[in-house]
Amino acid sequence: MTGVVGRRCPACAAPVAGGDKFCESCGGDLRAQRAGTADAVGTASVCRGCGQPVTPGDGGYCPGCGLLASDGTDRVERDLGVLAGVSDRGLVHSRNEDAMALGRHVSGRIAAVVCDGVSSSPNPQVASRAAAAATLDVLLSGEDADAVTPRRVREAVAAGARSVAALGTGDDGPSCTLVAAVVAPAGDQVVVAWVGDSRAYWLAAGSGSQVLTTDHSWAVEVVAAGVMDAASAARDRRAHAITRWLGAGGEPIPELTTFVPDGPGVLLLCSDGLWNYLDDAGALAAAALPRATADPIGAAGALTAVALQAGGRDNITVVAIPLPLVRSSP
Amino acid sequence: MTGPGFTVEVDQNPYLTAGAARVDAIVTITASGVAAPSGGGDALEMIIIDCSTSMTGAKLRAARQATAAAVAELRDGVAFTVIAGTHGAQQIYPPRAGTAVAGPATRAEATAAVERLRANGGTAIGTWLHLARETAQRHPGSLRHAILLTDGQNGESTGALLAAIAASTGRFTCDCRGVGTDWQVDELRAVSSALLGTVDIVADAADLAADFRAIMGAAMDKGMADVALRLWTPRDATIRFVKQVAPTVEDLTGRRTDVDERRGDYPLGSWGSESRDYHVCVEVPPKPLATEMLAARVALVRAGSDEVLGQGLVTAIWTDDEALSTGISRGVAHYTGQAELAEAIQEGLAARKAGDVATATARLGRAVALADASGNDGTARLLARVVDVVDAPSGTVALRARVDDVDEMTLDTRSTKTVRTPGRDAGA
Repeated sequence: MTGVVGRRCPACAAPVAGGDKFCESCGGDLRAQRAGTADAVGTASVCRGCGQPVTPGDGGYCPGCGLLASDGTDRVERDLGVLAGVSDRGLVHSRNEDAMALGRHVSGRIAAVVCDGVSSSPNPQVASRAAAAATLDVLLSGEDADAVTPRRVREAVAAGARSVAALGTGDDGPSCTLVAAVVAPAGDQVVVAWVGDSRAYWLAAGSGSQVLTTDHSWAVEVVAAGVMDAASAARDRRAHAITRWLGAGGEPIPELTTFVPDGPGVLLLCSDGLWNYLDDAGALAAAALPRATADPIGAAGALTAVALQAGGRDNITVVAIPLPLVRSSP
Repeated sequence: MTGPGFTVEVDQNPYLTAGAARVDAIVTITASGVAAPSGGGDALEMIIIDCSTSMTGAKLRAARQATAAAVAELRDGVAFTVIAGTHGAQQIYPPRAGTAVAGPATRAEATAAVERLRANGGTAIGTWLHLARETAQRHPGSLRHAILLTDGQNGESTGALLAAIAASTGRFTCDCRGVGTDWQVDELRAVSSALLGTVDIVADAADLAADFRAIMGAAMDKGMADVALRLWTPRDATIRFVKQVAPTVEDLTGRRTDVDERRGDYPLGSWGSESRDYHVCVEVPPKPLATEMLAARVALVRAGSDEVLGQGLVTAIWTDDEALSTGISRGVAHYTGQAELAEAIQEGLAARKAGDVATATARLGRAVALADASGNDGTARLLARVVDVVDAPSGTVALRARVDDVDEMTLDTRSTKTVRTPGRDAGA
């Protein structure tokens, strides 16, 4: 079958007729299949502490014991066959402020977005979810020839930034980072965009692994400016302070890179909850390969487990996209 | 123009170290657009004047002028009465049962009636409150407010006064004033505290008219009666205290009325467009690291209803990150100090009266240090009239051999006045 899932719009869940290409309700492209944090939100309705039912009117906390109710995103695993992702609350944070959005178009084009809510802003998980969903929508829309281009990817990030800006203004608005990738149907052309310190890696057998992004962070900028060496900068208290973000007071300007794989490998998108523990591309490849080429959900889970075992101090989100695309026949 | 609105802001550090149970938060409640009822029909004002024999002369003349000044402030349409208090209570205006409706004619009549007040009799504040309560009960749903003026010690048994206060609680709010220095601060504070009003000394009778005008002006700005703070706490939580901490310190802990198993209401009286701060302290069962819970939900409701006018959340998050858990919220630190300041003054003055020089010196010294550190200049000035300040930051003081009654009573009545944290709006 094609990417049409059931008889409901994958974006807004409105009922749709079998032959429709676009949703009558939200205008979304029905030829695309989506999955991610958004469809996990709100699925939990029982307190994980005392078992009491939690309703939306309770404002996110158990009405009996007061425990923060899971919003369904403590652990999100999504497998679209040709790509897969895991997003985990980790061991220290009380909620998952990361978000991921994965999609595959009926044409074979695939796209993924990982966002990391900025913890010092209010309700950052709202920002990361909005940004991931809005960015993915643009990456999955239109025809392939237009979609896998820097121009369209910039538009996609701009749509993500607008969706975050709409959540609040001034210092009160939530904010997040973003890394997004869109892959042409043949798997031979990749455009990556990022804002902040969420990363994209290319993992390949041998010595071909590399990080595709350069963090928009204090540490990277002082090193680039020659003010400090990398080791001293990394030790600085401000090392992880990001210099670009989507949302309140931020500069939502993405940096872009276009990548043409010269052989088989795995495109990895992740939040700093993973790379804080494992940031070397070769080390990531060693942990993920060769499993990731045939079993992206298994590899995403394995990398998440590495971060959890190392302490899980932050939310962890890992999306694995094997290239050339895994030939699946769902 | 939007309708009345309450905003609830919570200042706290939600992060707790492993095993910690105590959660403190300062809750700032700001009402806006709470206008006085148009036409004045929903307000009742009662002016209660001490007419005991000791008021004879300048004090009664000043009380007459002050009452006239307060009557002049009444908005058209407000229901009002004037009560003369002695060993009993007598309504002197209107000269019949019931209340008058403020207007040019009734204001003139009331002013003339006040001119005929004579001082003769004792002081039984409880009976005055009973009459005011009976009047207030005929105005349910209105903004019900009284001004009570006395110059002397209550002649009733303590039990009689306390019973009258208890019967009046929630029936009307009451601002109390003591003129001269022969009245008891504790007695009037008991009345004003329970009846959600203010208490102050007017040392010079000549200042009374201006004070009454200000009280009535503030009363006329109130727009919503019977607001309550509704506190939700989780299962197995303990409420350590609920205090108003600005503009004055007032412990509300014991005034709770349970709504259900998890919720209770604390009466906050009537509101105009103004801002007040509350300190809420609860103990919750400690949870594992990385767990977040709701320690309290603070809502504003109209008393006796479930209409939520605004709400804020007090949370707790357990963490092993000491950089997070060791920080104390500036508001919590500040108001903990302001509450201790009031306590230190009252204990210090009580010790001084009892002749316990050591305790008085220690407590008043502590008060001087707290007032100095928090920038509470008003209280610092009042303290300096009761003790000789050697070094304010360390609280080194010596008791003065002679202290004017006025200065001691002024310090006592105003001991609960707080300042807001530096950098914040001075507030209404």
